[in-house]
Formats: sequence, structure tokens, C-alpha cells
Amino acid sequence: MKARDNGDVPSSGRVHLDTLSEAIVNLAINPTTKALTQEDYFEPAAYLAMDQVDTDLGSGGLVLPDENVFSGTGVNGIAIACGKASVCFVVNRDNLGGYKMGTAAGDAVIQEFSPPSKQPVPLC
Amino acid sequence: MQRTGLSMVNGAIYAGFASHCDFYNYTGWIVGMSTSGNILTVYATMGGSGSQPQDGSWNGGGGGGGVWYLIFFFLSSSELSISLVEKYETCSRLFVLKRNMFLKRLHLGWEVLRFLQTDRIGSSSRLGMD
Repeated sequence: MKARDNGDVPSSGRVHLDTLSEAIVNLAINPTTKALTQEDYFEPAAYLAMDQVDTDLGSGGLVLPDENVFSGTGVNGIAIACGKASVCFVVNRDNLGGYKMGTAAGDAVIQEFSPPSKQPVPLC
Repeated sequence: MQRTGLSMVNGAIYAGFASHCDFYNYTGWIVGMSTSGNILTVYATMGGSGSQPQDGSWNGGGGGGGVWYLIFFFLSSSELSISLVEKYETCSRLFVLKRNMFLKRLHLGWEVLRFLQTDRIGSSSRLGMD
């Protein structure tokens, strides 16, 4: 069973992907036509397992902290997304991380963490 | 599958849509409309047999609200906007209203899709999603 349209293999976020469930996606807007084009994405290495048990990343939304406060060496801005798996992903806004691009085909993100209580992110 | 809120960028209002409980080819849509109701642009992805059952291209599983939000937006009045504020404050979601009560930045969390505001990133108009 393939996990995704581009195959269950490490993929750059810069390569177009159609199966964008469980993903953080960066779309560019053409300022004239308002048209959208896919620029970058991050999809967790656990995408397949998450999707099968409905622990949707998209359920938690995305936070874009003020880049004047939240930045670091080589990182101008971050984004944080938490989903029903009770895992939060901190990613580089300008290089979201693709799919399995990290060490040992893991997530190429700045940090992953779970809320201390291990409780799922509240849904509504 | 409508977890996305609305985002207004450079005068275009963007809303995202996906599918749920169906079979491929799954599709995900983002529609950009003008404040007068004209469709300016439509962006779509279509996932084939590589995608999972019940898997909307923009978000798998679960449910959410959003389509009706677009409709309400164009009917917007101060009263209506306030009622939406109250509704979403109960969900602990963050969003900002412009003075004219139009929804400028929605951060409702229905979808990881999230647009960067142009006033923070200049005229390049890149948006980030969530």
C-alpha cells in the first residue's frame, strides 16, 4: 500500500504533491492573478499511521509566531502545528521539511514535542 | 471536509475545501474570490490511488466547518460577525477582526492551511499553510 501519491519514500517539499492530507503547505499567491502555486510542504513521517487512525494533523491548525521574537540561526521564522496525535511540529517557515527528509527517514523539522499532559489537543 | 477558515490576501478571499468518506480520485480545492463575489482563481489537487480511503487531499478524516463561513462572510454585518466571534472563542481559537468587522485573519484551526498576511511579508505575497 502506498502512503501517498509520490510514493512512501523521502521527498523534498519542493516537489509537487497532490495528497496533501496531514500536511503543512506553503502556497504562493500571484499578486496579479491571485492564482496559487505549491511551493513547499511538510508531511510527517508517520503520515500513513496517523491517517489510518484519524489522528489528523490538520485538526489543530497552525501557529505562525512573530518572527521578530521567534527566530534563530538560519531560521527567519517558524511555524507550529499540533494535531490529534498529541504531537507538535516546529518547522522552518522557509523550508518546511518535505516527507521523511530527516535522519533515518524521519521528520526534517526543528523540533517535535508532545504537550506535557500527553492529552490530545482539544477539538471543537 | 472544510476545516479551513478564510484568509484575505491582497483583496482576495481564499477558502479551502476537501473531500471525506469517498473514493479516489480525491480532490482538494482552494478558491479565491473577490469581496464582490467573483471567483478570481481556483487551485486544485487530485490524489489518485496512492492516497488513503476517506482521505481528502487537504485533510484526512474528521470533520469541520467552513463552507458556510464563506457564505456568511458575504452577508457580513456587525451583528453576524460578533456572533461568529462568540462561537469561536468557545473553541479557544485565535483570530483578528478588522475595524470594519470583515474577517481579516482567520486562525480557526480547522485546517493546517494557513496564509501568511501580506502586511507581514511584503508584496511578494507568499502565503504559508497551513
